[in-house]
Amino acid sequence: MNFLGSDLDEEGEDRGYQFLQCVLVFIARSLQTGIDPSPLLPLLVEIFTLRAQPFYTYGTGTEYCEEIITGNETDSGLEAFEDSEKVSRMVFAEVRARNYNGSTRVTHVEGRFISNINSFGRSFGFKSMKDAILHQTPPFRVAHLRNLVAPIHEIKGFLTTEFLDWFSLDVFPRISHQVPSLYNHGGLTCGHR
Amino acid sequence: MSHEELKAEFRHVSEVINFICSLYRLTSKEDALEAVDTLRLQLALKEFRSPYLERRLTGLGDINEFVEAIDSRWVVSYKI
Repeated sequence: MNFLGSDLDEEGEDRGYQFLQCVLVFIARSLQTGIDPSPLLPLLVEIFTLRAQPFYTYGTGTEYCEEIITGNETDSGLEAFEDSEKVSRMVFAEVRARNYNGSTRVTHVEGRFISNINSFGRSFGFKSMKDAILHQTPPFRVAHLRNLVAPIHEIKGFLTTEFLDWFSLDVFPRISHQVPSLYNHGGLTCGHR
Repeated sequence: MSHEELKAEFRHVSEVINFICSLYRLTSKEDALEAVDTLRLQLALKEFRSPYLERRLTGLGDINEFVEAIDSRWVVSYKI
């Protein structure tokens, strides 16, 4: 009876995992079409907020860990994150040392979470978000910009350095450059009293 | 823009800066920390020059934090 119960639990978890992954791929593809992503981005933050998801918090299974550990057939080079042929082999997120506990076994919860992040990236979700940030034109919508950066910030502890380089080395200078405009918009400077 | 809207806008700007700075710090760029510090100091100065007292105080607090952080770094390196 116990075996049957845990079997059903695992099946339920599989469905939950597949559902969340489908939602992420849907969001990624929607972002690619160029539609207004405002309603989707808060949902993305919710999915990426690991501890807020009961599914991840209480998961008990052991699947979806191997691809994270091996990472064998991956491409390198920042341009590969934008290459439609190479992107399916790119690693956007991985288990970092501080999440790793020194063993070669990744927990089910982290493994599935990271697989979801990689699925989103391989569907060009992160590329669409980066493009949206880089191609903003004045007047800047600060709340929108925040919603574009917040999901990536939420998962920063899992992101690979290569991915962070690809994303941040372009985005940081751009936002730094936009900051005076952002602050004017926020009524911070003189003349906006 | 109402006062509440301005406050929300200001909060969003601060969050964007915090998010992007913490992501940039994790890159392989060697001078990332310095670039982040420079940006944060520039923003603190902008806040300090704001016509709003609340934001001037925030800017002053940020600059004060920088000074304390630099002080503590200096003390640690001096002891070593």
